[in-house]
Amino acid sequence: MVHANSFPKASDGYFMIESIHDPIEVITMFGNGKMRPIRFRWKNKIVKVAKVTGDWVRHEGQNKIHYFALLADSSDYYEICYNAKDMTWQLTRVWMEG
Amino acid sequence: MLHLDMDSFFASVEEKLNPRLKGKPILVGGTERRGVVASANYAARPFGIHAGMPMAEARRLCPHAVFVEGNPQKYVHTSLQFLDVLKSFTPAVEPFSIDEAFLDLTQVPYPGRPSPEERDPAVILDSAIPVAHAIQRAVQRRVGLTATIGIAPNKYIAKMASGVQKPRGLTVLTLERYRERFWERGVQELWGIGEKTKEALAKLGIRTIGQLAKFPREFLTYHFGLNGERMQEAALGRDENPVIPYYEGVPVKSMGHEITLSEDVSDKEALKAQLLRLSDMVGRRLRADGYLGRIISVKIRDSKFRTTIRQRALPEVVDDEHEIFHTAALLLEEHWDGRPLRLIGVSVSGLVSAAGHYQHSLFGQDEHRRKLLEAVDSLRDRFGETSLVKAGVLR
Repeated sequence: MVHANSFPKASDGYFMIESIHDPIEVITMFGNGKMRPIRFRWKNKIVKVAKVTGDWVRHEGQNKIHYFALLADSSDYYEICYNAKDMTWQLTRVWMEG
Repeated sequence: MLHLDMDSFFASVEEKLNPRLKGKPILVGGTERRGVVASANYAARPFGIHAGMPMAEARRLCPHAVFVEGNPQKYVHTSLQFLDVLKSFTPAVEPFSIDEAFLDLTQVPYPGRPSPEERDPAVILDSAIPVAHAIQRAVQRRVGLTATIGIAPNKYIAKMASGVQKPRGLTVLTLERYRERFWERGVQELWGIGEKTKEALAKLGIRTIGQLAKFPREFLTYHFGLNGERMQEAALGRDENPVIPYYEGVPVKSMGHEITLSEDVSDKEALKAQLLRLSDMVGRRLRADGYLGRIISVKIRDSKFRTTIRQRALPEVVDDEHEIFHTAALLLEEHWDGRPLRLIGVSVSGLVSAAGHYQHSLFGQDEHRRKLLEAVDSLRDRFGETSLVKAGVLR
């Protein structure tokens, strides 16, 4: 589901990072006390992660939401998050140019 | 003293995370129709865009810019990373905002440091240049972002120095160089002097920083009170404030929240609902950080950008949102003339530590109320801020 707001869309001639809150399935590698997304499925499309460019955490009460900024093989940019409480992944932002 | 200022911080964080944004003008801010630009990168500045500008205006000036909705957690995470880098150079690091910090190098032994007998301020300050370069390189290597540094004999001049040359700048100002560089300039270039103070100073015939420095102090005190004295000290480049290391904590003077409304509002009940929500946020923060405050302020800004701030001192210190809201609502009733508002805010100042206060009033008549607040706070700590919302906010 694309988050609806009055903000301009790329189709209007604006560039923007789109806020999305779609559930995704993620293959993750765990090691050295960290987790690293390897690839994920979004709308039946498999996205291979080329590089994790950053990560951060948001606290929601005692629960932690882990965020990852990713560059895909296609060089598209994604932000995904892992909700530790209900063990679900979500795609939160995407940047696809052109 | 060093002042470090991260270059167009929020926009640079977004650019670092998404390398495809490199070279493009980036605007970070609220995505609401009336949000403001929180940060614009240097590619956006030639279009006349600056932080604080309404997003709609920025969009008009640079329609091909990339708009990114600000994300505080992301920036706080990066802020902690660069503070870690700074702490590897000296423990005397004072975080000043999410993207700024002061460092005191006076107690740090570094190569090339002059002997204690050295008296020439230029030699002493210049000796810190290699350290400043090393800090800039370390921040770039470990955080992936650039920073600008000002070096000076005190915090105020260091802050002014870091504004001289950006991005990736390094400016050293002795007291003498500060006066040479700034005394001919307008007072508005002083850190902490806004448009209103500039106009008030102009009425006294003070237009330049040099004129402010030389103006008879008693007249400044007469017109501006203690603030007049502070402004003149700033103009003179005098500042005795030490760097307060992060581990000692910076004393908090006030806590507040404000909101730019999505459209102009002249419905009193809608404004009160906003005041209730803001009072709730302020009360929660006061209790979480262990403070109570006595002075309640309300800030309103109308559609013509006229800002009014009114405050009232309470007989007792408080941290209860109901008392904050009650006073804030009274202030709104008394000082709002019904004109449509674009911004509303609530703050509490005159803060004291809650620890000492509760020792005196442990068995006071408000014990029941306190237990209720603790229960609400505990639920929100566990389940998040939106787990309990006041009915009055749901309009």
